[in-house]
Amino acid sequence: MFSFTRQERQVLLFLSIVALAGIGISFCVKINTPLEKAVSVHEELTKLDLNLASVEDLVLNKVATIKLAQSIIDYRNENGDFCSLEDLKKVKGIGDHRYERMKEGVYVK
Amino acid sequence: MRHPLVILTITFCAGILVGREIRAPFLCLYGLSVLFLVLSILFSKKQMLCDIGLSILVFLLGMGLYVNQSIVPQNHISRLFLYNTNQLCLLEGYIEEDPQVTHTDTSFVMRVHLIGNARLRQKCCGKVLVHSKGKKELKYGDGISIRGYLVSPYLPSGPNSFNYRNYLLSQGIYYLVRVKNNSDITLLTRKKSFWVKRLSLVLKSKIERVFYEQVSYGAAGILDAMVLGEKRNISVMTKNSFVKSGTAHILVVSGFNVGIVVYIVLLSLKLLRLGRTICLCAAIPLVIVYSFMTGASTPVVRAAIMSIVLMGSALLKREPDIYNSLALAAFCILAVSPNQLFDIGFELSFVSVLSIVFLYPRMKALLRIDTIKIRFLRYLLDAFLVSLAAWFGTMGLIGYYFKIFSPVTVLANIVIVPLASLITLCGFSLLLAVYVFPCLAPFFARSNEFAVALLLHSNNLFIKIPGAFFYLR
Repeated sequence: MFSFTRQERQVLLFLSIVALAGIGISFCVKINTPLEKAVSVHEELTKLDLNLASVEDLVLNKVATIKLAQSIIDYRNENGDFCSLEDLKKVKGIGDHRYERMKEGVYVK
Repeated sequence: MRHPLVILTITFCAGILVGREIRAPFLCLYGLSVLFLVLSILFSKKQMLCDIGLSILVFLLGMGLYVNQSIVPQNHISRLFLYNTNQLCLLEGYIEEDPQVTHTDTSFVMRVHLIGNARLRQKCCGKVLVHSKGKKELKYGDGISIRGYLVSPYLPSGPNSFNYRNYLLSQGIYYLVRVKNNSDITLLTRKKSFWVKRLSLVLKSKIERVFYEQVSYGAAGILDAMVLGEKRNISVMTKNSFVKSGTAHILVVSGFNVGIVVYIVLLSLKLLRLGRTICLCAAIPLVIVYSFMTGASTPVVRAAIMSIVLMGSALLKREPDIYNSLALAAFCILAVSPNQLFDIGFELSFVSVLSIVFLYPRMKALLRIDTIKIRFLRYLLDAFLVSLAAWFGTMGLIGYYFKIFSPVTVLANIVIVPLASLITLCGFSLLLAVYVFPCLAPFFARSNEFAVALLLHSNNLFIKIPGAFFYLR
């Protein structure tokens, strides 16, 4: 019926699959909100949990230097888990500029 | 000889290697090159002698180019010892690369033409890497004046540590400039730049805007890397997790992306019922624009040259040869920048392609994959063999540079590579949707988001397998 070439058909089919998958996922998320976490890229996938991270994690992921990472862990041991990222500013050696950099790599649940 | 360019490129590389070890005077190398060129012309009728002469000429060219690139002019910034300490100075010049802007900093490569302090001013040349605190709206080609501290890049802390100074030197950057406040950067002129590159960067920023508007920040960062080769918004944790599974190569724009661009262009032009020759002629400049969009990194330039050779051979109705086109790509890159031979990106890019091209067909024939009747199994084995071939080729380099050995690589690549290819295709389809069917764009964005989430989840699963990777110390 349509005079599409094989390549054109493949492209149209691919675009239809992508669009249909998107519509399907949107519908699933609407009826089951917790699914949103599984189908989207959230912080837990790309950042470190500040309340679970070790000194090695913080250093390897370039969040902090060894000395600073140790200060963060010491603060956590003394004061309990971080309630928000802002709490990082209470750690000795973390100013506004460093905080802005660090918050790119960590999150607090 | 079936692969003449391969032999010439290997000879050229040998020349660069020898040039690095033996610091011969440039004029001596130049004189010898001229001599062998004359001899080759004189013996042009005697094939054997002419070939030997040409090989020696190419070898000397490799040596000469390496020596020449390390010679700097009299007024080069590296020769101005007055400023080689940590002191405040004034620099004028223009921005040579697209500035990297993060939430806290702005950094860019600047080509300097004037340097001075409170008392003196003098003309100079050379490149510096500028780091400034805070965001600043700057573009490639902007003429600027800055006030900052000129410092030498730090030296490695140990024998096995990363040598940042050598890394910058290989890019022709001799100094860093630290600007304490972005008000110390003054814009003088705009648009002093190569128009094709400027156009490419405008297109790039438009595409990036689409990604960041349509999907979450994390997913947009991955799409940005896979479609445009821009990795600045991928977290270190994400990069590390891909290094651990040996799949970090998916975050680099490669031949696959160039192939997609060629495919899209050819198909779009075909829809307009244009002839094959016109389609191919139009695809070549667009591949060049795409290379600039992605920062003209080594893998993209390699892929772009190879695809141009393939399209050129189709235009000229000549049989293309993958080894020759790969060698030509290497030759072109090294002729412009001989230091690339010692760059990990260059080495990994060429070694992986070479090992796939060489090993994959042999392994396929050995295991008689074509005789398998189940199509899915055949595809799966094919993917496994491509992954295995690339791993064989690159594991030595990865072990040497990253001090990591990832046995999970082969398994991870079977899943991650098709997923990454799907994401790249989805990324391009999202662009198409935004501009052609805007009402459907949110659904395309949903699919993209899901595909990226699936990729990250799968990668995390692979690196959690016991013995998936271990560090070589």
